[in-house]
Amino acid sequence: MKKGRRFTALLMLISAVLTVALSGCSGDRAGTASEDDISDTPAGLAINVGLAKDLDDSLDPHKMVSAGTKEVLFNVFEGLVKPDSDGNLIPAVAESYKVSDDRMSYTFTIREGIKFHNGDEVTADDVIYSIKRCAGMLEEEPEALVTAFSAITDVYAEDERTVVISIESPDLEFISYLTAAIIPEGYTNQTTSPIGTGPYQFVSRSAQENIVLKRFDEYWGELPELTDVTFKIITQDTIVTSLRSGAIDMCGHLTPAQAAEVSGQYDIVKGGMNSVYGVYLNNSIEPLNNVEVRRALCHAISVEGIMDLVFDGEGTPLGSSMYPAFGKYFCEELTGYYAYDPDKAIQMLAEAGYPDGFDLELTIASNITQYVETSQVVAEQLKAVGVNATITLVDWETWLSQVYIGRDYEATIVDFDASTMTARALLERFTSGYPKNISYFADEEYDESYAAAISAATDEEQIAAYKRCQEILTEQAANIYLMDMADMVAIRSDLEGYEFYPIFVVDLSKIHVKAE
Amino acid sequence: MRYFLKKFISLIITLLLVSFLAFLTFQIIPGDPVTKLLGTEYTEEMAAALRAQLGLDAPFLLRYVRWLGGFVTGNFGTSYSYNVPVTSLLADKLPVTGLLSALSFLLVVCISIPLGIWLSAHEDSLADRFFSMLNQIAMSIPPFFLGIMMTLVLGLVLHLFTPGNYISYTKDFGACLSYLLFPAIAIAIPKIAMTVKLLKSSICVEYRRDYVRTALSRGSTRRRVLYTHVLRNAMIPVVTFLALTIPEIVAGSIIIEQVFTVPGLGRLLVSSILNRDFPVVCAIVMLIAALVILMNFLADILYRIIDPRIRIDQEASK
Amino acid sequence: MKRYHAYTKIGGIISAVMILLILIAAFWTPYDTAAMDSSAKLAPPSFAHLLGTDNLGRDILSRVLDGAGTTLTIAVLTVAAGAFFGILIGAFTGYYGGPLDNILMRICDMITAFPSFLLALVIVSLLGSGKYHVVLALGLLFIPSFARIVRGEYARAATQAYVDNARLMGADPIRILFVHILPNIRSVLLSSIAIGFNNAVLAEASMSYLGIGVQPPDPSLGRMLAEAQTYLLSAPWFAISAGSVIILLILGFTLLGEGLSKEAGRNA
Repeated sequence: MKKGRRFTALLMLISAVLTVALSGCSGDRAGTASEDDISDTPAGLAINVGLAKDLDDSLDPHKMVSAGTKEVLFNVFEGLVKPDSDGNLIPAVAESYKVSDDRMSYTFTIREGIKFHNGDEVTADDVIYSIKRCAGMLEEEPEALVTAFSAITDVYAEDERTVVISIESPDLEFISYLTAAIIPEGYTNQTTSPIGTGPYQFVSRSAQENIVLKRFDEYWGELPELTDVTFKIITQDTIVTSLRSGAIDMCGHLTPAQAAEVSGQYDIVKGGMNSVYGVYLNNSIEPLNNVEVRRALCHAISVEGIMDLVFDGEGTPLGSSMYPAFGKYFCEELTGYYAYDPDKAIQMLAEAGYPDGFDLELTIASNITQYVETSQVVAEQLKAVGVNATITLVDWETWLSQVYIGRDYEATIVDFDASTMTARALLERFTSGYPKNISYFADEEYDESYAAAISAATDEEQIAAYKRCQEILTEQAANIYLMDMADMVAIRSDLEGYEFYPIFVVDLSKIHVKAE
Repeated sequence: MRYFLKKFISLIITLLLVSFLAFLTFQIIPGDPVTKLLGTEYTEEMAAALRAQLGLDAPFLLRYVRWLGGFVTGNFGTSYSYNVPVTSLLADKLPVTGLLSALSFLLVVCISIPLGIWLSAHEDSLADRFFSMLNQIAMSIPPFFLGIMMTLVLGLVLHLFTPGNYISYTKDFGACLSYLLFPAIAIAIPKIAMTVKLLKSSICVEYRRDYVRTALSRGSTRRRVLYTHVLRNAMIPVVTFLALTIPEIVAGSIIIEQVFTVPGLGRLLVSSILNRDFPVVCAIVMLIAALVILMNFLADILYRIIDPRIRIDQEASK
Repeated sequence: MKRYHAYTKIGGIISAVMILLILIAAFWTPYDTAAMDSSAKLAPPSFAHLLGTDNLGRDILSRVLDGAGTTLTIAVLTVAAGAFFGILIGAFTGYYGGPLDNILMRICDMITAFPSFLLALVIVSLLGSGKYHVVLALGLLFIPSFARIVRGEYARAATQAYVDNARLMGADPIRILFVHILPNIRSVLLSSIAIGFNNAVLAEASMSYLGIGVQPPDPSLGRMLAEAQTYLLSAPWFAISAGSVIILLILGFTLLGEGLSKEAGRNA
């Protein structure tokens, strides 16, 4: 019987452990209840925000590379100036600035009493350190981290609160790069435990689990209502279930289909993704090096068809490499330049020497649902004009090394944004000398126009030159431009204040409880 | 003793082979850690400097030897993605997968063994037939589909848990355990079915043996025979099977962690592979490989301990 | 008349129906599997679409059948490859033993211990992704388990009288391995093939769930399940259809294998 008893003892042990696990169940409910309590008390408002991709790179504001990391840490860092939701630059660390008459020297006055998250006051030295670090003027950082900063010739303090930055030649867009974060001099843990001056301070990050931010109570500006924000890392496929279950209170970048799934339970805020979504073509290979073939492909694609199938009809069609949030630079008249006309496409292909079409491989990054779904619609539409399009899914890193850096592909679907809010970011990539010109687009007039825009003395000249660039891209059918995708945010229905920016950021400071 | 020594050496050899294969993997698959660290807009000089800093410019074999040297001395390197030592990432994630696997294993043991014993006592009854059929179906359900259905039915419809609301074990252990219970069930159900089936058939085979007939004819109760003789022998294949189940449970958690968004080793492994964060990948691969090999070893030893007919040294000297 | 075990009957019927449907789908499906319809997105099951439509308005019935065909093809080829090489390796190593045995078994250990997802990713990146590369990746993964089982059986057989006799009579070693011994281990082989088939279906589904394997627009059951998660509440039939097909495929063959081995046991 001894063994029998031992066996019984084992069973009892097991059931004891299970009881703990199960009693944890009720503990769970108690746990969520207490969290709700916190958010209801006037002391604080805590929310969970879903993120479909982890912030898995450096958290150093000058070295972070992924758009997702920049998006979240927008709340932690500020530059001398920072963008507002209309795309204007507003004073941040600097309370004001002056530009010299020759437009080669900028004088900033640092805001009085502004503090870093570690409690230290921001000094002129911190500002100089931050600018020099980005410009590659420090010994430990010999390379310019912000390319445009290589134009900086000198940075110096005029007095304790005044910093002067000089550049080698006038540049209308230079001020937009001064959104680069100001960080404390000599602090070495930015990569894992960042410190800035923004309305939120970094608390912790746990790989594939969460990023926790809390309100910085000594922030110079108006204090936001949300006190604690936990970004939970989920997956594309579990966004909807996590929202429906209430595990997260807010989630950005939903597809219209995902938004439709949760619209009964959440408020949906609609905006543009602020990027140029398109089928990008390798202009250097047969038969895509033939402009007539590319034009035929443009006629073969129905943007409306894609919008209906993949995006529930949401989004803004585009005709060139610019999106509406850029206002003055955007050429609306280029939209619809190539009308959807499969018969014409077939005829044009035949005239170009491809009466039976040709094979085309679409290399698609598999991690973005929109790309994968769009590619299937594009393949169907191309089939209708005799082009046999096949889809090859690759993971993001493979896409980067093969398509974006290696430029070894036939066609791909991707969207390009402008992280610095400059038209340059969208148009420079098609100049013939640009190393990541994935279209291999080479057009002399385009290069000239682009150069003219960069060195333009006035806004009008610059706008005209940039518009000409867009026209050339469209006329030459460099790529098949599709749309500025709809970007949807689901937010708990008792909250409001989500604002879309022309750049890829989420501004937590504006979110607040709806007034009764 | 020779047996253990021999096993130990083959364990080391297998681990070496695995580490080499893991290291080789990143020579083969496209993707460059440099783009992960510098983004896409870097100059060649920056890339070269970074490669030199990370030691990526050295020839493949030299890099392997360096990495191996670090690995055996406990230096697993630094994650490219998170800029923290790999050991601290593992220390953070290992308990999650460990808990999930342990919970799952516990469910397998404490449901399948009583159920198997009970069903074997009622062989060919209606309940037995019903459970046998149910068993066959349970064995056919992919755990991740089970997970999806549990999310729908138990999570979204019945609100027994909140899908996506994993709570860290450091914050609230009970809440963490209760969230992990659901993915643990999804992993456990097919394994329970397999164990029940094995145990039942194993007990039935044992009952037909002569010594059981003898014991029964001497007037022992069926129950007494079960606990003193039958179970002990019938458990041999089951225990071996259970030991081999552990690495399968851990491997199964890789996909289940995706379904239930549990931030464990599995999600870290998949995301690190996709990010080409190979210090992390190599470390996790080694960890899983070591577990698989150790459990195989354990199964072997258990088999020998429970069944004294196989003498360890005798076998080894063969 | 031979009496079949209930499992054999049920399993046989399920498998036969599935294979029949898959064969029909190979030549004709109710709809083109890639044809989209923006006016019928996520339509519930109806007479027009027996299993409803997916998020791009494609007919789910056509897609699950086509996907099941792909899965079945991959599973059969995988098991065939795994069994062929597994038997080859297992037979020689088990019968002869020695250093070759040691080396091959260590390599098998290595493959078993290596995460299958990573191994599959390596092969897919080496060869490009595609149906048949998945077969290769999975086949490689299935060799060790077959080899191990076969090796054990051969090691046991090597000491048995009928093998000794054959050896004494001067039979060719190859003949001994594959004519004398192989038929004697068929019942073990049969059940490992059944298990292998199930594991192959599962592995293919899991891999395409994680995004490697079959490429869209070709339907794949695992991928459909991943996509269906978003529409769980509004279109549960999407996930359930794809999942049920996987279950039926596995169930049919498991029952068939189970029934057959029970019959073999009864006859013995």
